[in-house]
Amino acid sequence: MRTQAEVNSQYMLQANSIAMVVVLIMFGMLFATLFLGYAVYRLTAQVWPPSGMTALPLLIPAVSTILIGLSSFFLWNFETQYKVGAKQRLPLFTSIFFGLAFIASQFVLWSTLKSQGLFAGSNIFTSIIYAFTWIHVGHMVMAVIGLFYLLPLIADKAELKPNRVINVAKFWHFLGIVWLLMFFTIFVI
Amino acid sequence: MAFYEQPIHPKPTTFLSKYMISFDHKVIGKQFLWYGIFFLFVGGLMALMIRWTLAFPGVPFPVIGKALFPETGGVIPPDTYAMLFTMHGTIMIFYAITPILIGAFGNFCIPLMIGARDMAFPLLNMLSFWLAVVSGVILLGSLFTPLGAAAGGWTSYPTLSTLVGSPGTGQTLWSLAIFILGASSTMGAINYITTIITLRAPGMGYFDMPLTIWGLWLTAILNAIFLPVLGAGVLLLIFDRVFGTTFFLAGAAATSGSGDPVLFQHVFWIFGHPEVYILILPAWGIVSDLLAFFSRKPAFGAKATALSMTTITILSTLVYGHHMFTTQMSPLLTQTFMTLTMTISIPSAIFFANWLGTLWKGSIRFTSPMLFSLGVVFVFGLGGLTGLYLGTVTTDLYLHDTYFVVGHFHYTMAASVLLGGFAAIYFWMPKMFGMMLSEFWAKVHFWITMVGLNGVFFGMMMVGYAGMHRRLYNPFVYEFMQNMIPMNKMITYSAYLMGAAQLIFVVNFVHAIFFKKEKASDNPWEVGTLEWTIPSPAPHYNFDKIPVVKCGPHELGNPNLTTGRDFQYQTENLVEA
Amino acid sequence: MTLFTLMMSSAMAETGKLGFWEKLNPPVDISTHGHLIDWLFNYTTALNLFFFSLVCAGLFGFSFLYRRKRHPKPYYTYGNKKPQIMLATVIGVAVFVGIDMNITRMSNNDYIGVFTNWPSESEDILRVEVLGQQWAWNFRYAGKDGLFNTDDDVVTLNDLRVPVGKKVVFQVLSKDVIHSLYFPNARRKVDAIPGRLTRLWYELTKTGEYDIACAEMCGTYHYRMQAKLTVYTQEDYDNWMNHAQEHAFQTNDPENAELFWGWAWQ
Repeated sequence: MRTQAEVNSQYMLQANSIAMVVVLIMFGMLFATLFLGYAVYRLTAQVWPPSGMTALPLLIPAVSTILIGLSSFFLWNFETQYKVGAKQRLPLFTSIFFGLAFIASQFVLWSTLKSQGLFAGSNIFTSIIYAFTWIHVGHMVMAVIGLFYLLPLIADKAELKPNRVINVAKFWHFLGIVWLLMFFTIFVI
Repeated sequence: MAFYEQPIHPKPTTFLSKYMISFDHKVIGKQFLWYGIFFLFVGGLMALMIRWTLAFPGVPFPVIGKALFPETGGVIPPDTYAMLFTMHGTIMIFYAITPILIGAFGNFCIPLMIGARDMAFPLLNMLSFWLAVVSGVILLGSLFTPLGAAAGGWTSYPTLSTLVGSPGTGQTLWSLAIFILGASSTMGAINYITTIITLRAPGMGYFDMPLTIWGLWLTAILNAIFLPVLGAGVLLLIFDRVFGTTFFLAGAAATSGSGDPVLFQHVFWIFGHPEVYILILPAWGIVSDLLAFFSRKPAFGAKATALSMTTITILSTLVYGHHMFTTQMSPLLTQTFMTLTMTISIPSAIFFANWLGTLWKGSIRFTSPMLFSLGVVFVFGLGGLTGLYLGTVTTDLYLHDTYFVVGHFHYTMAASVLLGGFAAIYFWMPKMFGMMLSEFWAKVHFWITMVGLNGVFFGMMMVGYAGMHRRLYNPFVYEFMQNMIPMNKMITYSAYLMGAAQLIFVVNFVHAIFFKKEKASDNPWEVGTLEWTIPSPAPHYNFDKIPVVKCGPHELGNPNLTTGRDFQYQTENLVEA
Repeated sequence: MTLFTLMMSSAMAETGKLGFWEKLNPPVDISTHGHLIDWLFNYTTALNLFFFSLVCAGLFGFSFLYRRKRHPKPYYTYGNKKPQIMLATVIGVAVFVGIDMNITRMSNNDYIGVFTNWPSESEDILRVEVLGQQWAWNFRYAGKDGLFNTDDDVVTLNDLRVPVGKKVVFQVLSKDVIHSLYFPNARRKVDAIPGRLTRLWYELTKTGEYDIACAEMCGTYHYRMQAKLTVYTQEDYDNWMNHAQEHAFQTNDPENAELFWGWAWQ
């Protein structure tokens, strides 16, 4: 026989997991549509990259990838320890720091592109680069707010809420994977 | 045995917490209902203006014409006409049907019918409603921009919907409003899916759920998966309009590299086809239940109906290309879409047969919800069969973008959903507001609506077959359409009749809510689903004690019943022989 | 339905005044393959009428036979018995095989065998390029040199003229937004898309003047994007074409870029 408290927490876990799966499917479909569009444009174009494109900066996106990777790593670190009850402040702060650094690196990317004369309306490829990164950063901002939402949990007297941490982390890692796909398909190949 | 139950919150006291910022799913449901009914009338008025122009070109619109269009002396000008059919489509689909069937009845019925006290995420629920209000304000606001509201059709194909074809802010605001509404609906979808999976009362397996819940659940799943696709498409359109990207620009306008307007069509219809199923699934579920309730016997093949609806949900994702046959996709792709489209007939025919099987050897009570449900069987049968012409490529090449399509989708989408929605309102009125609507006037409403509805939409199919194409301000500049003037007049008269009939409903509804003294009993329809085990109107906590479910939702007419009732509540053990 | 309409049309042809059903028929079919579409439509209608009358028999019949006063005791069916499943499946499959696969097969044959069966370049075909714009149709004929976008091209505005009995192949493009080239009398339409070429072909059988319309929302004056189709006998067509070509040299100004919207035949 389980206690009422156990039943309640199991319900919470189940409800949150299901909701999180739906949320990830939703955002996944949004990005999937963008990738579908990209694939169509790229595969049906006669010449790629479109004529007049100077080489894309590779350093800044690579740095962005490292930043977001580090951020995910520290968040995973925080999450694993939190789940067993250890509230480690440093990994969470570091993760937020790298997340904000990632967003800053995107601004650097945009200004670099503009200095090269590549604007959103220049051609279809730049349209894709700007649109994708804008949408991704928009979601990153929401995710960073989610991380800030976790801050009250590390106070000494705060109640343990592993679900909240798990869900925010899922969203964060999801965005990291999306960035990885973007980096690979847009900048690398 | 311990199971999870949501806590009972104290009853809200202030006006604000009771009616405006309420977390209670029943209040949010009613908010969506008022919202949807308001937009139904705005969209309906627009339809009447469209019909006026088609029947009486050059004649000023009565009553409000001179005030709205002073420059033309009251005659509706062509650019306004384009705005009217665009907004009519947008409002009816996103701001009337979705809020009423999915927002209102989804919110109201789901927790009550599965035995829960509220949705899984009440705050998210409330935000979903207020976000929809923001979206509605933006959409209505777009009517007052200098160049007017969006006017490229509700499908807003580029390049007409890019700055090339639609220079004003109206189209941008339209796109923004749709995006926000999409966010609102997906928030609702998260709630519905999670609630149905996790908060069903103990003993309620998936096949013990009423079919209404099946319909709402499948709708929410489709919403969650496909609204983001529309969101992405519309977002890229906004980027094209505001930031100068080139996703959908082509032709002379694409000075800086070419985009692909047809890609928008693909993205739109990948969402668009599941969307039409999103709109009809709740009505299918509701009708499946109501036919059983008022035939006083279990729904014939209820499990098969649930599974058919699920199959249709899955198949609907694969058929979107039949909206695009005239864009000349590759023949292989075209053939594939045609064949896949046809497969949807199988599950549709199965649950249709089940509907008729429910009526067979029943003991039918012709109450107003039953009349409307029978109406749905008729109009959906007709509308569904006319889809066949549009699914075969060669006939579609002639019928695409004619009034035949308009007749078809109004039968399947507007008529079926409208009648289903009214069936739901008449049925759940006592549980929602605590009193019954006048049965007599409900029946008058039904018959006049049916006559008007069939006149309008069957007429449209006839003129469409005769070749009249869509979105025309004045069709009669064409020789071959001169013959169709009388039929167009007839369609307009039917439309005005149908519009007038809705006033009967409004008077009935307003009178019942604000002026009627007679309260409804707990279970006026004598059926056994969980919402009828509690008082009418439902108390704010729904269930005093969470019910334990012992049998299915359509336990009616069991010959071994000895209680004097001809039905069993879901909380009672099934009476065996 | 076809027999009935035939009777009606012959009756009406005598009287010269269109009766109720005549008015609602599609416009007169002037193409060699329009009848395939009309036939399939009527065939589907026949099948639909059959199945819909079954539905109505069930709906109205059961409503009458099993109304409460007449049938107070309902027949209790519980659970998913084999007969129920069998019946539902049989009906589903019957509808699918009976109607759907039937008409799909026919439509597919027509689609592959006729409508996408482009005439080969070696045949004697008439080639026309069509440019849709807001809000008019431009038509271009190659002229004597057989090449498009040269100064002997005959370019017309809203005025398409073709001979009977000859296959006409169109390549269609749009200048600005999506339009749709619609020939009601040939039962055909194809979208005109900016940046992407689409094609259509037909062969016409009756002379006379007919409507061409735009069948995709393209802006405020979409309803007025009307062109005229004139179908000539081969002789009259040749006369017109010769006459038009003489004028072509005079009107085609090589300096005016706007006139040379054509493209090399794809």
